[in-house]
Amino acid sequence: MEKMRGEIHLGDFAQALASLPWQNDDQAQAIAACLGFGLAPSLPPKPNEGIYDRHSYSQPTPYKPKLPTPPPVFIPPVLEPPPTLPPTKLESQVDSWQTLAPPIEKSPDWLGEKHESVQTINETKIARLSLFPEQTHRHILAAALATRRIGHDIDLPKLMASLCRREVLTQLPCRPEASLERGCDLLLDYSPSMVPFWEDLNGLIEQVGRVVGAANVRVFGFDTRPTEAKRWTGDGKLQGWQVQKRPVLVATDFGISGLQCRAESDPAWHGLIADCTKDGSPLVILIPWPEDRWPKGLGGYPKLAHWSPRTTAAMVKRQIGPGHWMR
Amino acid sequence: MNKLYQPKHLKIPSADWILEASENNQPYVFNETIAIVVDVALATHRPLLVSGNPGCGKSRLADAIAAVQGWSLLSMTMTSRTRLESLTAEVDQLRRLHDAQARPENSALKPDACYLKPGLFWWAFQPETARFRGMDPSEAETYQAHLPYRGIQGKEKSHAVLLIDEIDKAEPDLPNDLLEPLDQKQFDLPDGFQVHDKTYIKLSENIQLLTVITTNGERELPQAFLRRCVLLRLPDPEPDKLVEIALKHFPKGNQARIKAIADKFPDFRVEAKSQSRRPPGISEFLDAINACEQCGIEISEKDDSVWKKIENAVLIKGKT
Repeated sequence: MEKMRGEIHLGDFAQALASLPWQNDDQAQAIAACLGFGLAPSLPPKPNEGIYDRHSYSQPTPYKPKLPTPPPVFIPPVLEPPPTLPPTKLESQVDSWQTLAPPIEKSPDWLGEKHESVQTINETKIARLSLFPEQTHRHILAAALATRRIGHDIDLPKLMASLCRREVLTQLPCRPEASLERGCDLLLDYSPSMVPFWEDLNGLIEQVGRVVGAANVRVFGFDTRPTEAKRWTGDGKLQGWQVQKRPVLVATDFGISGLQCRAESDPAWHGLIADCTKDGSPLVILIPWPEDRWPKGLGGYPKLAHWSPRTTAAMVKRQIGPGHWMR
Repeated sequence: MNKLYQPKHLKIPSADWILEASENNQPYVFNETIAIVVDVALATHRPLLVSGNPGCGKSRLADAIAAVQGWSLLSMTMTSRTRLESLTAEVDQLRRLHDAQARPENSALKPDACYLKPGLFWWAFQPETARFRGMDPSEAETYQAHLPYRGIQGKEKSHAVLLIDEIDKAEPDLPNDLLEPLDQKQFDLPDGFQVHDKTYIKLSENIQLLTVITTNGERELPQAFLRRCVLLRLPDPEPDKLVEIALKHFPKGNQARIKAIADKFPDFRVEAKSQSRRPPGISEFLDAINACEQCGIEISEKDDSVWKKIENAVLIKGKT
């Protein structure tokens, strides 16, 4: 067996520089860049993400190129001729006043004040740990959002049973495998109690997009009540969320602001669970607070997960298994 | 004045960086950056990961490299159901089972290798064994198990460009699964199968191979995978470059019309961006020119003109 070559290293760079006929610094820099040694990022820049899904909208407005408009031409209006005045001139009966108000001896102080525009303070951005760290988010989210489909590995017990029954097989019985092909709906709680986690919510959009593909994620926001989640569509309309036979990932604190959860959870949560159960859409809820503060009585259908750096993919898989079953 | 890069491995003339059209290939306009990066990939024997907007010529680059080098081209577009076995080797178990059940009494079973299906990597690493599913040629002939070549053969038949197209469409685990065949240039055969007493297929020493992988960036690729690839980002071409490309594809085309269409491209891109739509690429540009050339359509700004309909159907794609 040949030894693994591993990642691109300085040896590759040295080999390329030694063997290729580069002639100037620009060419050497291009060689370095394509091997990942350049100062400039070699990967494509990531597009900015908003709270709405930019990839799907109902009716895009057709494109019409802007034609140059001719400069406006002003034609003076035709005025009516002035009325003819009588020949005699009357004397004015109005007396003129010398002064209407006493002169200002001293102008107020505030008149000379200089109003400075409000200066924006350049706040130092404090480095913060993502609730799902970069190293692990991929595996955690893949485990949480995977659904099962018929795979390629043969299901031997089923095959044996079919052979024993002398059934003519039209297709091989195969074991299920996990897949992310269904994408996901992301429901984010932007209520006041989630303010400390808004950056994490925005980060979660990016992380989920990276794992299942940005085109496969629909992002909705809500305030406290998940069944009223909405998003802005590309044509500037508010669209309400409806369950759509795909995994639903919710990030919320159930409005507890880090305190002990109330005995009864909001009926809207039960509405969400009922919708997902009826549709067969898997429901995973990420909660940034520890398990002892989670609401009780949500039933077994939603999978609640601690949105924390301590959560691992193995924990998620223990709860969910190798992907959600979908009808 | 800076001297142009003279590629060592890529056989493209640096005077114009152009692969001219021929009977077997379409033209392709390279540039110095592409030439350097492809040369680096060939020198370091690393896979070339090409990224860029859809329609910018990523997949066509693999065709063009194969044509320039005179190598064969093997290509496969990834889907969410593509897995490592379909790229290396898999067993047609259903046919094997049917053959076993349907065979006449007292007749022997076919060799297991008859049910091996060589994948793209096998065809690239050892085309001579892939052709006979790893069996001896005479045995393969007996059982009619020989296969036609999977790709497009070049002048230098054994060397190949292997195109793994749109890897970001595959399940996220696939790029990690590919590390071994890309890194070690070998892969394991399915359990119980051997070729020339070996349980794996390894790149033949006399074969040169360039693996080209394309991505639209729809899904993030694992860092371990990215760090093993030579990276090339194809930018969206400017109008001058579009005209140059179009004139290579349509040498007798109406130059004024081609330039007029190319000049509209920056506006199309801005407009597509403002409407969160994918901007038109080179392929759509060439489609528009082709339509105008074939049907003799002139550029017009009138809303009900034929050109406006083509613009909307081929370039803008805003109204359905």
